[in-house]
Amino acid sequence: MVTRYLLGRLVHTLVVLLGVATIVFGLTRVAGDPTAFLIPAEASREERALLRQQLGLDRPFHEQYAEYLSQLIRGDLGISFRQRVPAASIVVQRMPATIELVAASTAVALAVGLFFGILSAVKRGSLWDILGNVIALAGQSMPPFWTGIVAILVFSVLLGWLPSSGRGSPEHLVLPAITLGAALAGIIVRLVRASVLDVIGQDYVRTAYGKGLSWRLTFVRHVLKNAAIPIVTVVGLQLSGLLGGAIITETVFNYPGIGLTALRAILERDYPVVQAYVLVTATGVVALNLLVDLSYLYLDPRVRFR
Amino acid sequence: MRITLRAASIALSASMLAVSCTSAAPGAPAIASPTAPKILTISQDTEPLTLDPHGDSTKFTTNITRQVFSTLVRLDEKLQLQPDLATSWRNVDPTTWEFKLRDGVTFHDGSKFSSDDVKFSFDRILDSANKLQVRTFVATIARAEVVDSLTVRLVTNGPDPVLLRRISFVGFIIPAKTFQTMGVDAFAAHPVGSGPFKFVEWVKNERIVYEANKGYWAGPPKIDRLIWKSITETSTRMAALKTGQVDIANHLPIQEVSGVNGDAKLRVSSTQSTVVNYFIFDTVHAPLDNVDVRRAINYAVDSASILKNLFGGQGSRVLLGSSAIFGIDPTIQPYFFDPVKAKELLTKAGYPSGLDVPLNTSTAGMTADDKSTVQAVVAQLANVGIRAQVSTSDFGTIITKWRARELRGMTLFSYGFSTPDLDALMGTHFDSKRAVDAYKNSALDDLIQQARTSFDNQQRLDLYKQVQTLIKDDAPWLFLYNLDNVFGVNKRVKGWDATPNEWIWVYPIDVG
Repeated sequence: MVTRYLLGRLVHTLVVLLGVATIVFGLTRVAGDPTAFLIPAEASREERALLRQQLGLDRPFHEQYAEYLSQLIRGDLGISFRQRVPAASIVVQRMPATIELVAASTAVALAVGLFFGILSAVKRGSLWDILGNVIALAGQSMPPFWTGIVAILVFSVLLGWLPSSGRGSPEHLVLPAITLGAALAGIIVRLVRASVLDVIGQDYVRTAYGKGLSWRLTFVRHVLKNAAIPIVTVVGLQLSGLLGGAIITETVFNYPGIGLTALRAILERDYPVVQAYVLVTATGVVALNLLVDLSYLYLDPRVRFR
Repeated sequence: MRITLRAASIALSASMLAVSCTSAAPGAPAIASPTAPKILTISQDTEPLTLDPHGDSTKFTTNITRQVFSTLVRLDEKLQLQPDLATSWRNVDPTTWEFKLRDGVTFHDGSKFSSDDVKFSFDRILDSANKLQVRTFVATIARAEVVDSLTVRLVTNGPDPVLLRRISFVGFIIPAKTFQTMGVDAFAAHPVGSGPFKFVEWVKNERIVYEANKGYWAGPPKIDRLIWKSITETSTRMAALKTGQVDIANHLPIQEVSGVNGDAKLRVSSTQSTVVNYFIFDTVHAPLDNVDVRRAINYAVDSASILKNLFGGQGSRVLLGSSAIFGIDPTIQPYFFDPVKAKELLTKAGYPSGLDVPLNTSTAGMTADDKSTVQAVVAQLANVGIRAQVSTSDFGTIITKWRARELRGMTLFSYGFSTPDLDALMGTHFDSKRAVDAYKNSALDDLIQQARTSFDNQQRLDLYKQVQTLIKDDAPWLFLYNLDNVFGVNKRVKGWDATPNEWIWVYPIDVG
C-alpha cells in the first residue's frame, strides 16, 4: 500500500517538476536578453549577434523550449552562459554549503523553539512564558539582513570571538546559523506552545495520567508525539522558505552557497544556472514534503494511505 | 615506549597550537623566524568567472590573472608602458608591430617561453569560435607572425596607435604546448603562466591562493603567498579588513573612511579614478534632441556640490575622463553651475515653465552611490523647472535597453577606461560607426577616425582637443565627475598605493 502511494507520488512529482521547469524557462526568457550583459560595453553589434547565434538565442521560442526539454530528460541542465561549465556542476558544487547552513539553522531553531515552546506551555502564565513570547516576537521581527550585520559588528569586529565571513571551520557557521534560524525559532516557539497546550488539554492525556502513568511518561509518550504532527508540517513548509532566505544570509556573510550563486546568475541573466538552481531546489522541496507525509505514518496511527 | 611517543606528540601538537594561536591574532607581527611565510590577502568585491586569462575581461578578474600571466608590455601604476615579455618594439610599417622577446623566461611548469607562445595566444583570442570575452579589446589585430624564436610580429587591420595599451590589458601569453596538452577546462582549473605568482588552488566563492614563483625572470616576489577573497557585501568586506582577515580591500565607501583613518592598524589609500560618471541623453527624441535643453541640464546641475556633500570631496569634475587617460585635455572643463543661464536656455528652447524628462537609473552598479546621486540631480533639476521622472531597474535591464537603443531621456552611466585611451570611449558612445548610442555628429566622426589611425601623438592630442570642444558644445551628456578609487589598507602592507585604474600589481609589495 505504501509502495502504491509512493509510485503515485512519484508521478505527481514529475508533473510538478515539469511545470516548474516550464515556468522558469518562460520567466527567464521574458526577463531580457543575456548577451547585452555577457560582452563588454566596447563590443560591436556584430560580436553581439554572433554570440546570440552561438548560444542558440536567435532561434524561435518553441525550438528553444523543445531543445530545453529534450536536454532535461537526458539530465542535462545546460552550460552556464557566463562560466562556460555545466550549470549542474555549479549548482552541485555550491549545494553542500547551503545544506550545511540550512541544517545548522534548523537545528538552532528547533533547539531554541522546542525548549522555550515546551517550557512556555508547561509553565503557562509564568515568566518563562513571557520570555518565550519575547523570543518569538524578536525572532520574527528582526530581518536577517539586519541581524547578520549587527552580529558581525558585535561578535566579530568588536569582540573578535568569531569570523566575519567565509566558510571553513564550525566557527564560521555560528553567526550565519543564528541569523538564518532566528525567524524560524520564533515561529516554532509559538507553534510548539500552542500545540502542546492543545494536546495537554485532551481527554486521553488526562485519562492516562489519571490511570497512574507518571507525568513524565505521559508527556513523552502521549503529549509530545501528538503535538509533533503540526510542528513537523510547519517546519517542513518553512524549510523551503529557509532555502530562499539563505540568499540574504549568504550575501551578508559571504557564505559560498547556492543562494549567492543564484542571485548573481539572476542579475547576470545566466539562464542555465537559474534554471538549474530552481529545478534542484524544487526537487528538494518536493522530496522534503514527501518525507513529512511519510513521517505521519509513524506519528499518527490513524493515517492510512489508500 | 608508546607512552613516551604519545607524550612527545602531545607536547608537539600543544606547542604548534600555541604558535598558531599567537600568529593567528589579527595584526600580530610574524614570528621573527626566516621560515615564517609572508602572506598577503586582498579582497575585491567581485568573484572571477574563470581563471582562464582570456575568458573574463573585467578589470577585477584581470587583477587576479595578471599576477600569474604576463603580457608583452605592462602598464605601470602611472599608466605608462613598461617592457615585460617584450624587451623592445618598433613599427615596421603603420600596420605591423615587431616585438623582440625576453630570453630565458620559463613558464611555471618549466617550459621555455618563445614566439610560438605569443602567436598561439593571439590566435586563440582572435578565433571567434572560442567566444572569448577579451577578443573585443584586441579585435584590431589581424594576425600574429613568428619571425624567429625571440621575435614576433602583430599585424593590425588598420593603423592602431592604441595597440600597446590594448595588449597590456588582456594580451596574456599562455604556454602553447602546455595548453594543448591540458585542454581548455583543465587549464582554466589550474592555470599555468609566466608571472611572478603560481596558481595553487581556487575554492570557489571562498578564496584563490597563489604562491611565489621563485624562477620569475625579474627575481622572486617578496610575498610568499597571495590570497584573493571576493566579498561582495560592503559591510562584510569592511569587517574583514578591520579584523585583519584581509590586508587590502577595494571600494571603501565614504562612510567608512573616517573609521579606517581612526584605526591604528589601517590606512586609507585613494587616487583619482579613471572611471567617469555621467548621464547619457537620448539625442534622437524630444525633448533632449534640442541642444539648448541639453545645455540647460548641464548648467542646472551643481556637480561640485554633489562631490563635496555626497562623496566627501573624494572626486573631481571632468568632462570625459581623468587626465591619466591619453587624449584628455584637462583644460576643457564641464559646464559651470549657473541655474539662471539654465532657465534662460529653457525659455529660449520653448519651455518657459519647465518640462518633464524621463530619468533612468539602476539599483546599483554605476556610481559609488547611485541612489543619492540621482536624488541630488533630480532636486537640482527641479530648481530650474525640469521635472525628472525617475524609473529604476536592475543593472542588466539598463544595459539591455541601452544596447537596444530603447533608453529615453537621461540615463546614469559610468565608463571604466580599461584601455586608458580616449578612443575607447569614442567607440562606445560617440563614433556613429561603432557606438551603441544613436548620437550622430559627422564632424566628430571625421575627427575620431583621424585620431584613431594616427601614430603622431601630438597630432592625436590636437585632434582630441577639437573632439572634446565639439562634445562639450553639443552636450550629448550631462557631464559629471570621476570619483576617487578608495582602498582600505592594513599598515603592514608596504610598497603599494591605490592606482587610477584600480589595477593591482602585487610583485613589489612587502608585508611586515
